[in-house]
Amino acid sequence: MKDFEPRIIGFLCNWCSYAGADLAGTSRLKMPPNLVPIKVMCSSRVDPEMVTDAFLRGADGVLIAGCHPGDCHYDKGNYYARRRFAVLKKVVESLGLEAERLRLSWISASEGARFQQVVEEFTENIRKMGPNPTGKETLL
Amino acid sequence: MNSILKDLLRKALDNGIVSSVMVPSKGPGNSFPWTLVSDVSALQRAEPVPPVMSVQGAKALASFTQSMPEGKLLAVMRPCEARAAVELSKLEQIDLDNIILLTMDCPGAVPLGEYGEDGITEPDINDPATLRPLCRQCTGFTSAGDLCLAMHGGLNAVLPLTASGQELLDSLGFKAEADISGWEEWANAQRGERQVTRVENMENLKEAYSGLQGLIEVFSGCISCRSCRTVCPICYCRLCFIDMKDRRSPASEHLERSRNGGAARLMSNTLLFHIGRMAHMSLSCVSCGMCEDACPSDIPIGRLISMVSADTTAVFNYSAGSNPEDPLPLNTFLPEELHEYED
Repeated sequence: MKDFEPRIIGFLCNWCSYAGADLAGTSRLKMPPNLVPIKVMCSSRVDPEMVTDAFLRGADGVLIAGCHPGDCHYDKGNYYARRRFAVLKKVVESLGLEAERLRLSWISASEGARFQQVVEEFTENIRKMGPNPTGKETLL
Repeated sequence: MNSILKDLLRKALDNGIVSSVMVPSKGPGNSFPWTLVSDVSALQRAEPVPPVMSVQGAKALASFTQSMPEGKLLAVMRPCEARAAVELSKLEQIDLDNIILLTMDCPGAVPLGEYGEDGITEPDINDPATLRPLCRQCTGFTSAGDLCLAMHGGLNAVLPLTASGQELLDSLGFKAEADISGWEEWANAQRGERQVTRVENMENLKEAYSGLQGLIEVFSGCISCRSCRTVCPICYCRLCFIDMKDRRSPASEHLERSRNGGAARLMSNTLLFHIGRMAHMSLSCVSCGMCEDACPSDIPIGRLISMVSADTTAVFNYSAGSNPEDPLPLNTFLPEELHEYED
Protein backbone atom coordinates (compact mmCIF):
# COMPACT_ATOMS: atom_id res chain seq x y z
CA MET A 1 0.00 0.00 0.00
CA LYS A 2 1.12 3.51 -0.76
CA ASP A 3 2.20 5.72 2.11
CA PHE A 4 -0.63 7.70 3.62
CA GLU A 5 -0.90 11.19 2.15
CA PRO A 6 -3.34 13.32 4.18
CA ARG A 7 -5.96 15.24 2.28
CA ILE A 8 -6.70 18.49 4.04
CA ILE A 9 -9.43 20.97 3.18
CA GLY A 10 -8.51 24.59 3.89
CA PHE A 11 -11.15 27.31 4.07
CA LEU A 12 -9.07 30.46 3.56
CA CYS A 13 -10.42 33.96 3.93
CA ASN A 14 -10.10 36.12 0.84
CA TRP A 15 -8.43 39.09 2.53
CA CYS A 16 -5.74 37.60 4.75
CA SER A 17 -5.10 33.87 4.66
CA TYR A 18 -5.66 33.34 0.93
CA ALA A 19 -3.33 36.26 0.26
CA GLY A 20 -0.90 34.73 2.78
CA ALA A 21 -1.05 31.45 0.85
CA ASP A 22 -0.43 33.40 -2.35
CA LEU A 23 2.58 35.09 -0.80
CA ALA A 24 3.95 31.73 0.33
CA GLY A 25 3.66 30.63 -3.30
CA THR A 26 5.21 33.67 -4.92
CA SER A 27 7.98 33.55 -2.32
CA ARG A 28 8.61 29.97 -3.50
CA LEU A 29 8.37 28.58 0.03
CA LYS A 30 8.43 24.81 0.01
CA MET A 31 5.47 23.08 1.65
CA PRO A 32 3.54 19.82 1.45
CA PRO A 33 0.93 19.69 -1.32
CA ASN A 34 -1.74 18.17 0.92
CA LEU A 35 -3.94 21.21 1.45
CA VAL A 36 -6.81 21.84 -0.96
CA PRO A 37 -7.68 25.53 -0.61
CA ILE A 38 -11.23 26.84 -0.80
CA LYS A 39 -11.50 30.60 -0.89
CA VAL A 40 -14.25 32.15 1.26
CA MET A 41 -14.94 35.85 1.67
CA CYS A 42 -14.56 35.66 5.45
CA SER A 43 -13.80 32.97 8.02
CA SER A 44 -17.28 33.65 9.40
CA ARG A 45 -18.73 32.48 6.08
CA VAL A 46 -17.76 28.94 7.02
CA ASP A 47 -20.88 27.26 8.34
CA PRO A 48 -20.17 24.38 10.73
CA GLU A 49 -22.04 22.09 8.36
CA MET A 50 -19.46 22.79 5.63
CA VAL A 51 -16.72 21.58 7.94
CA THR A 52 -18.81 18.61 9.07
CA ASP A 53 -19.52 17.71 5.45
CA ALA A 54 -15.81 17.70 4.56
CA PHE A 55 -15.02 15.71 7.70
CA LEU A 56 -17.67 13.06 7.03
CA ARG A 57 -16.69 12.74 3.39
CA GLY A 58 -13.26 11.64 4.45
CA ALA A 59 -11.17 14.83 4.64
CA ASP A 60 -8.30 13.90 6.95
CA GLY A 61 -8.12 17.43 8.29
CA VAL A 62 -10.06 20.67 7.94
CA LEU A 63 -8.38 24.04 8.41
CA ILE A 64 -10.20 27.34 8.77
CA ALA A 65 -7.87 30.31 8.37
CA GLY A 66 -8.69 33.99 8.61
CA CYS A 67 -7.40 37.42 9.56
CA HIS A 68 -5.92 37.88 13.03
CA PRO A 69 -8.42 39.03 15.67
CA GLY A 70 -8.76 42.79 15.34
CA ASP A 71 -7.76 42.73 11.66
CA CYS A 72 -10.93 41.32 10.07
CA HIS A 73 -11.76 43.00 6.75
CA TYR A 74 -15.36 43.09 7.96
CA ASP A 75 -14.35 44.28 11.41
CA LYS A 76 -15.48 41.35 13.55
CA GLY A 77 -16.26 38.34 11.37
CA ASN A 78 -13.37 36.33 12.74
CA TYR A 79 -14.58 36.78 16.33
CA TYR A 80 -17.90 35.19 15.34
CA ALA A 81 -16.02 32.50 13.41
CA ARG A 82 -14.07 31.64 16.55
CA ARG A 83 -17.27 31.16 18.57
CA ARG A 84 -18.82 28.97 15.90
CA PHE A 85 -15.66 26.95 15.62
CA ALA A 86 -15.64 26.40 19.40
CA VAL A 87 -19.24 25.13 19.22
CA LEU A 88 -18.47 22.74 16.39
CA LYS A 89 -15.38 21.45 18.14
CA LYS A 90 -17.40 20.80 21.30
CA VAL A 91 -20.10 18.96 19.32
CA VAL A 92 -17.47 16.78 17.68
CA GLU A 93 -15.71 16.13 21.00
CA SER A 94 -18.98 15.41 22.78
CA LEU A 95 -19.81 12.76 20.20
CA GLY A 96 -16.40 11.16 20.58
CA LEU A 97 -15.11 12.05 17.11
CA GLU A 98 -11.56 13.23 16.42
CA ALA A 99 -11.66 16.97 17.11
CA GLU A 100 -7.89 17.20 16.49
CA ARG A 101 -8.63 16.97 12.77
CA LEU A 102 -10.15 20.47 12.92
CA ARG A 103 -8.00 23.57 13.22
CA LEU A 104 -8.52 27.32 13.32
CA SER A 105 -5.49 29.50 12.50
CA TRP A 106 -5.03 33.21 12.00
CA ILE A 107 -2.74 34.03 9.07
CA SER A 108 -2.35 37.56 7.71
CA ALA A 109 -1.67 38.56 4.10
CA SER A 110 1.96 39.31 4.95
CA GLU A 111 2.58 35.99 6.72
CA GLY A 112 3.61 33.73 3.85
CA ALA A 113 6.08 31.99 6.11
CA ARG A 114 3.43 31.41 8.77
CA PHE A 115 1.11 29.90 6.17
CA GLN A 116 3.87 27.50 5.18
CA GLN A 117 4.53 26.62 8.81
CA VAL A 118 0.81 26.00 9.60
CA VAL A 119 0.38 23.76 6.56
CA GLU A 120 3.56 21.81 7.37
CA GLU A 121 2.69 21.36 11.01
CA PHE A 122 -0.97 20.45 10.44
CA THR A 123 -0.05 17.99 7.68
CA GLU A 124 2.48 16.29 9.94
CA ASN A 125 0.01 16.10 12.84
CA ILE A 126 -2.62 14.55 10.60
CA ARG A 127 -0.08 12.18 9.07
CA LYS A 128 0.63 10.87 12.57
CA MET A 129 -3.09 10.42 13.23
CA GLY A 130 -3.54 8.37 10.07
CA PRO A 131 -6.44 8.46 7.64
CA ASN A 132 -9.84 9.71 8.76
CA PRO A 133 -11.93 6.55 9.33
CA THR A 134 -14.95 8.29 7.76
CA GLY A 135 -13.23 7.93 4.39
CA LYS A 136 -13.42 4.15 4.51
CA GLU A 137 -17.05 3.87 5.63
CA THR A 138 -18.98 2.75 2.59
CA LEU A 139 -22.24 2.84 4.55
CA LEU A 140 -21.80 6.35 5.89
CA MET B 1 -53.71 21.93 38.89
CA ASN B 2 -55.84 22.33 35.79
CA SER B 3 -58.74 23.87 37.69
CA ILE B 4 -56.53 26.36 39.55
CA LEU B 5 -54.92 27.46 36.30
CA LYS B 6 -58.32 27.74 34.62
CA ASP B 7 -59.59 29.90 37.47
CA LEU B 8 -56.65 32.22 37.08
CA LEU B 9 -57.15 32.43 33.30
CA ARG B 10 -60.84 33.13 33.78
CA LYS B 11 -60.15 35.96 36.25
CA ALA B 12 -57.54 37.53 34.03
CA LEU B 13 -59.86 37.44 31.00
CA ASP B 14 -62.96 38.45 32.92
CA ASN B 15 -61.36 41.52 34.47
CA GLY B 16 -59.93 42.59 31.15
CA ILE B 17 -56.36 42.35 32.47
CA VAL B 18 -55.46 40.31 29.41
CA SER B 19 -57.32 40.35 26.12
CA SER B 20 -56.57 36.76 25.17
CA VAL B 21 -55.21 33.51 26.52
CA MET B 22 -53.20 30.79 24.78
CA VAL B 23 -53.91 27.39 26.27
CA PRO B 24 -54.31 23.76 25.15
CA SER B 25 -57.96 22.69 24.93
CA LYS B 26 -59.61 19.31 24.83
CA GLY B 27 -60.14 18.44 21.18
CA PRO B 28 -61.78 15.52 19.42
CA GLY B 29 -60.63 12.09 20.51
CA ASN B 30 -57.65 12.34 22.77
CA SER B 31 -56.17 15.47 21.24
CA PHE B 32 -55.12 18.68 22.94
CA PRO B 33 -54.69 21.40 20.30
CA TRP B 34 -53.41 24.84 21.29
CA THR B 35 -56.15 27.45 21.26
CA LEU B 36 -56.27 31.22 21.42
CA VAL B 37 -59.16 32.01 23.74
CA SER B 38 -60.70 35.46 23.89
CA ASP B 39 -64.07 34.62 25.45
CA VAL B 40 -64.36 33.29 29.00
CA SER B 41 -66.99 30.73 28.04
CA ALA B 42 -64.53 29.04 25.69
CA LEU B 43 -62.29 28.25 28.66
CA GLN B 44 -64.64 25.34 29.41
CA ARG B 45 -62.60 23.08 27.22
CA ALA B 46 -59.22 24.41 28.36
CA GLU B 47 -56.74 21.78 29.56
CA PRO B 48 -53.76 23.90 30.71
CA VAL B 49 -51.53 20.90 31.51
CA PRO B 50 -52.50 18.05 29.18
CA PRO B 51 -51.03 14.58 29.78
CA VAL B 52 -49.05 14.69 26.51
CA MET B 53 -47.04 17.27 24.58
CA SER B 54 -48.32 17.17 21.03
CA VAL B 55 -47.05 20.53 19.77
CA GLN B 56 -44.36 22.48 21.62
CA GLY B 57 -46.01 25.55 23.11
CA ALA B 58 -43.28 27.91 21.92
CA LYS B 59 -43.86 26.67 18.38
CA ALA B 60 -47.57 27.40 18.74
CA LEU B 61 -46.76 30.85 20.11
CA ALA B 62 -44.29 31.58 17.31
CA SER B 63 -46.92 30.66 14.75
CA PHE B 64 -48.65 34.01 15.25
CA THR B 65 -46.58 36.34 17.44
CA GLN B 66 -43.62 37.44 15.37
CA SER B 67 -45.06 40.89 15.98
CA MET B 68 -47.68 41.44 18.66
CA PRO B 69 -50.36 44.11 18.38
CA GLU B 70 -51.82 45.87 21.46
CA GLY B 71 -53.55 43.90 24.19
CA LYS B 72 -51.90 41.47 26.58
CA LEU B 73 -51.74 37.77 25.84
CA LEU B 74 -51.43 35.31 28.69
CA ALA B 75 -49.87 32.03 27.54
CA VAL B 76 -49.94 28.94 29.78
CA MET B 77 -47.20 26.47 29.05
CA ARG B 78 -44.77 24.05 30.60
CA PRO B 79 -41.42 25.42 31.82
CA CYS B 80 -39.51 23.92 28.86
CA GLU B 81 -41.98 25.55 26.48
CA ALA B 82 -41.55 28.92 28.19
CA ARG B 83 -37.77 28.58 27.91
CA ALA B 84 -38.09 27.80 24.21
CA ALA B 85 -40.31 30.89 23.86
CA VAL B 86 -37.53 33.00 25.38
CA GLU B 87 -35.01 31.49 22.96
CA LEU B 88 -37.36 32.14 20.04
CA SER B 89 -37.75 35.76 21.12
CA LYS B 90 -33.97 36.10 21.01
CA LEU B 91 -34.09 34.54 17.55
CA GLU B 92 -36.70 37.16 16.61
CA GLN B 93 -39.47 34.65 16.02
CA ILE B 94 -41.62 35.76 18.97
CA ASP B 95 -42.27 39.29 20.21
CA LEU B 96 -42.64 38.81 23.96
CA ASP B 97 -43.48 42.47 24.68
CA ASN B 98 -47.22 41.95 25.22
CA ILE B 99 -47.01 38.32 26.27
CA ILE B 100 -47.07 36.97 29.82
CA LEU B 101 -45.82 33.41 30.25
CA LEU B 102 -47.47 31.38 33.01
CA THR B 103 -45.87 28.06 33.96
CA MET B 104 -46.34 25.47 36.70
CA ASP B 105 -44.58 22.73 38.63
CA CYS B 106 -44.57 20.48 35.57
CA PRO B 107 -45.74 16.91 36.21
CA GLY B 108 -43.95 15.79 33.03
CA ALA B 109 -45.59 14.32 29.95
CA VAL B 110 -46.62 10.81 28.92
CA PRO B 111 -44.79 9.49 25.81
CA LEU B 112 -47.07 10.13 22.83
CA GLY B 113 -46.84 6.52 21.70
CA GLU B 114 -47.87 5.16 25.10
CA TYR B 115 -50.72 7.55 25.80
CA GLY B 116 -54.30 6.30 25.76
CA GLU B 117 -56.89 4.22 27.52
CA ASP B 118 -54.94 1.00 27.03
CA GLY B 119 -51.68 2.67 28.03
CA ILE B 120 -50.76 5.49 30.37
CA THR B 121 -53.40 8.14 30.95
CA GLU B 122 -51.73 10.56 33.35
CA PRO B 123 -48.12 11.58 34.00
CA ASP B 124 -47.03 11.04 37.59
CA ILE B 125 -44.09 13.17 38.62
CA ASN B 126 -43.10 10.53 41.17
CA ASP B 127 -43.29 7.60 38.76
CA PRO B 128 -40.65 7.85 36.01
CA ALA B 129 -42.28 4.92 34.18
CA THR B 130 -45.16 7.23 33.21
CA LEU B 131 -42.87 9.95 31.82
CA ARG B 132 -40.98 10.59 28.59
CA PRO B 133 -37.23 9.88 28.90
CA LEU B 134 -36.37 13.61 28.72
CA CYS B 135 -38.95 14.40 31.44
CA ARG B 136 -37.35 11.81 33.71
CA GLN B 137 -34.04 13.66 33.59
CA CYS B 138 -35.48 17.19 33.48
CA THR B 139 -34.02 19.61 36.03
CA GLY B 140 -35.95 22.64 34.74
CA PHE B 141 -39.41 21.41 35.73
CA THR B 142 -40.45 24.63 37.47
CA SER B 143 -39.88 28.39 37.76
CA ALA B 144 -39.81 29.53 34.14
CA GLY B 145 -41.59 32.38 32.39
CA ASP B 146 -43.15 35.34 34.19
CA LEU B 147 -45.06 33.44 36.86
CA CYS B 148 -45.30 29.90 38.05
CA LEU B 149 -47.96 27.88 39.83
CA ALA B 150 -46.22 26.10 42.72
CA MET B 151 -48.10 23.11 44.06
CA HIS B 152 -45.65 21.05 46.04
CA GLY B 153 -44.06 21.13 49.47
CA GLY B 154 -47.28 22.30 51.11
CA LEU B 155 -47.57 25.33 48.81
CA ASN B 156 -50.46 26.23 46.56
CA ALA B 157 -49.64 29.61 45.10
CA VAL B 158 -48.70 31.50 41.98
CA LEU B 159 -45.18 32.88 42.33
CA PRO B 160 -44.11 35.96 40.36
CA LEU B 161 -40.76 35.58 38.60
CA THR B 162 -40.56 38.88 36.69
CA ALA B 163 -41.93 42.40 36.94
CA SER B 164 -44.69 41.68 34.43
CA GLY B 165 -45.64 38.55 36.38
CA GLN B 166 -45.84 40.60 39.56
CA GLU B 167 -47.98 43.17 37.76
CA LEU B 168 -50.48 40.52 36.72
CA LEU B 169 -50.71 39.15 40.27
CA ASP B 170 -51.22 42.66 41.63
CA SER B 171 -54.05 43.39 39.22
CA LEU B 172 -55.67 40.08 40.13
CA GLY B 173 -55.42 41.04 43.80
CA PHE B 174 -53.20 38.08 44.72
CA LYS B 175 -51.01 38.59 47.74
CA ALA B 176 -47.37 37.65 47.95
CA GLU B 177 -46.74 34.25 49.51
CA ALA B 178 -44.80 34.63 52.76
CA ASP B 179 -43.31 31.20 53.21
CA ILE B 180 -42.14 29.21 50.22
CA SER B 181 -39.40 27.29 52.02
CA GLY B 182 -41.27 23.95 51.90
CA TRP B 183 -41.71 24.24 48.15
CA GLU B 184 -38.07 25.27 47.65
CA GLU B 185 -36.99 22.24 49.61
CA TRP B 186 -39.14 20.00 47.44
CA ALA B 187 -37.80 21.60 44.23
CA ASN B 188 -34.19 21.24 45.32
CA ALA B 189 -34.63 17.59 46.27
CA GLN B 190 -36.43 16.85 43.00
CA ARG B 191 -33.77 18.70 41.00
CA GLY B 192 -31.05 16.74 42.78
CA GLU B 193 -32.64 13.40 41.93
CA ARG B 194 -33.22 14.38 38.33
CA GLN B 195 -29.64 15.61 38.01
CA VAL B 196 -28.38 12.18 39.10
CA THR B 197 -30.54 10.53 36.41
CA ARG B 198 -29.37 13.06 33.84
CA VAL B 199 -25.68 12.51 34.53
CA GLU B 200 -26.17 8.74 34.52
CA ASN B 201 -27.97 8.91 31.17
CA MET B 202 -25.25 11.07 29.64
CA GLU B 203 -22.55 8.70 30.84
CA ASN B 204 -24.42 5.71 29.46
CA LEU B 205 -24.95 7.40 26.09
CA LYS B 206 -21.28 8.34 25.85
CA GLU B 207 -20.25 4.82 26.68
CA ALA B 208 -22.64 3.20 24.22
CA TYR B 209 -22.42 5.53 21.23
CA SER B 210 -19.18 7.47 21.42
CA GLY B 211 -17.10 7.67 18.27
CA LEU B 212 -17.80 7.00 14.62
CA GLN B 213 -18.92 3.37 14.99
CA GLY B 214 -21.23 4.24 17.87
CA LEU B 215 -22.81 7.09 15.93
CA ILE B 216 -23.28 4.92 12.86
CA GLU B 217 -25.00 2.37 15.07
CA VAL B 218 -27.30 4.74 16.92
CA PHE B 219 -28.36 6.53 13.74
CA SER B 220 -28.63 3.39 11.63
CA GLY B 221 -32.38 3.33 12.26
CA CYS B 222 -32.88 6.93 11.11
CA ILE B 223 -35.38 6.98 8.25
CA SER B 224 -34.60 10.60 7.32
CA CYS B 225 -38.15 11.71 8.02
CA ARG B 226 -36.76 14.87 9.68
CA SER B 227 -39.56 14.71 12.25
CA CYS B 228 -37.06 15.67 14.97
CA ARG B 229 -36.44 18.92 13.15
CA THR B 230 -40.10 19.53 12.27
CA VAL B 231 -41.31 19.36 15.86
CA CYS B 232 -38.31 21.19 17.32
CA PRO B 233 -39.25 24.67 18.51
CA ILE B 234 -35.73 25.98 17.90
CA CYS B 235 -35.49 24.75 14.30
CA TYR B 236 -37.44 27.61 12.76
CA CYS B 237 -35.46 27.98 9.50
CA ARG B 238 -37.68 27.84 6.44
CA LEU B 239 -34.92 26.16 4.47
CA CYS B 240 -32.68 23.76 6.36
CA PHE B 241 -29.11 23.31 5.13
CA ILE B 242 -29.79 19.63 4.51
CA ASP B 243 -32.61 20.40 2.07
CA MET B 244 -30.67 22.79 -0.12
CA LYS B 245 -30.77 21.71 -3.73
CA ASP B 246 -27.08 22.12 -4.45
CA ARG B 247 -26.32 19.64 -1.70
CA ARG B 248 -27.12 16.83 -4.15
CA SER B 249 -23.83 15.53 -5.49
CA PRO B 250 -23.54 14.64 -9.16
CA ALA B 251 -23.68 10.97 -10.20
CA SER B 252 -19.98 11.07 -11.03
CA GLU B 253 -19.11 11.66 -7.40
CA HIS B 254 -21.28 8.78 -6.21
CA LEU B 255 -19.71 6.52 -8.83
CA GLU B 256 -16.23 7.55 -7.73
CA ARG B 257 -17.04 6.80 -4.09
CA SER B 258 -18.53 3.51 -5.13
CA ARG B 259 -15.44 2.54 -7.14
CA ASN B 260 -13.14 3.52 -4.28
CA GLY B 261 -14.88 1.37 -1.69
CA GLY B 262 -16.62 -1.24 -3.83
CA ALA B 263 -19.98 0.21 -2.86
CA ALA B 264 -21.31 3.47 -1.46
CA ARG B 265 -24.39 4.25 0.51
CA LEU B 266 -26.85 6.50 -1.30
CA MET B 267 -28.61 9.39 0.44
CA SER B 268 -25.74 9.26 2.87
CA ASN B 269 -26.35 12.42 4.80
CA THR B 270 -27.83 11.03 8.01
CA LEU B 271 -24.82 11.86 10.19
CA LEU B 272 -24.32 15.19 8.45
CA PHE B 273 -27.92 16.09 9.20
CA HIS B 274 -27.73 15.22 12.88
CA ILE B 275 -24.25 16.61 13.59
CA GLY B 276 -24.93 19.74 11.52
CA ARG B 277 -28.21 20.26 13.34
CA MET B 278 -26.51 19.89 16.71
CA ALA B 279 -23.94 22.50 15.69
CA HIS B 280 -26.76 24.82 14.66
CA MET B 281 -29.26 24.49 17.50
CA SER B 282 -27.69 22.79 20.52
CA LEU B 283 -26.90 26.14 22.20
CA SER B 284 -30.61 26.97 22.30
CA CYS B 285 -31.88 23.44 23.05
CA VAL B 286 -34.23 23.46 26.06
CA SER B 287 -34.32 19.64 26.33
CA CYS B 288 -38.08 19.54 25.85
CA GLY B 289 -37.89 16.09 24.27
CA MET B 290 -40.24 16.79 21.36
CA CYS B 291 -37.72 15.30 18.91
CA GLU B 292 -37.45 12.04 20.79
CA ASP B 293 -41.22 11.78 21.21
CA ALA B 294 -41.63 12.23 17.46
CA CYS B 295 -38.91 9.82 16.34
CA PRO B 296 -40.55 6.77 14.74
CA SER B 297 -37.32 4.77 15.09
CA ASP B 298 -36.86 5.18 18.85
CA ILE B 299 -33.49 6.88 18.48
CA PRO B 300 -32.58 8.56 21.81
CA ILE B 301 -32.15 11.76 19.81
CA GLY B 302 -33.40 14.11 22.53
CA ARG B 303 -31.03 12.69 25.12
CA LEU B 304 -28.15 12.86 22.61
CA ILE B 305 -28.81 16.51 21.73
CA SER B 306 -29.27 17.32 25.40
CA MET B 307 -25.89 15.71 26.12
CA VAL B 308 -24.17 17.70 23.36
CA SER B 309 -26.01 20.83 24.45
CA ALA B 310 -24.63 20.47 27.99
CA ASP B 311 -21.12 20.55 26.50
CA THR B 312 -21.64 23.40 24.01
CA THR B 313 -23.50 25.71 26.40
CA ALA B 314 -20.79 25.17 29.04
CA VAL B 315 -18.27 26.90 26.74
CA PHE B 316 -20.22 30.15 27.08
CA ASN B 317 -21.72 29.49 30.50
CA TYR B 318 -25.09 29.84 28.78
CA SER B 319 -28.40 28.37 29.83
CA ALA B 320 -31.02 28.26 27.08
CA GLY B 321 -34.16 30.23 27.86
CA SER B 322 -33.23 31.07 31.44
CA ASN B 323 -32.45 34.75 31.19
CA PRO B 324 -33.96 36.90 28.42
CA GLU B 325 -31.14 39.41 28.96
CA ASP B 326 -28.33 36.94 28.13
CA PRO B 327 -27.49 37.38 24.44
CA LEU B 328 -27.37 34.32 22.19
CA PRO B 329 -23.75 33.10 22.37
CA LEU B 330 -23.34 33.25 18.58
CA ASN B 331 -24.62 36.83 18.39
CA THR B 332 -21.91 38.24 20.57
CA PHE B 333 -18.21 37.81 21.37
CA LEU B 334 -15.37 39.01 23.55
CA PRO B 335 -12.14 40.12 21.88
CA GLU B 336 -10.11 38.06 24.35
CA GLU B 337 -11.55 34.58 24.72
CA LEU B 338 -11.43 30.98 23.49
CA HIS B 339 -7.70 31.08 22.90
CA GLU B 340 -7.52 27.31 23.35
CA TYR B 341 -9.48 26.92 20.10
CA GLU B 342 -7.23 29.07 17.89
CA ASP B 343 -3.61 29.50 17.00
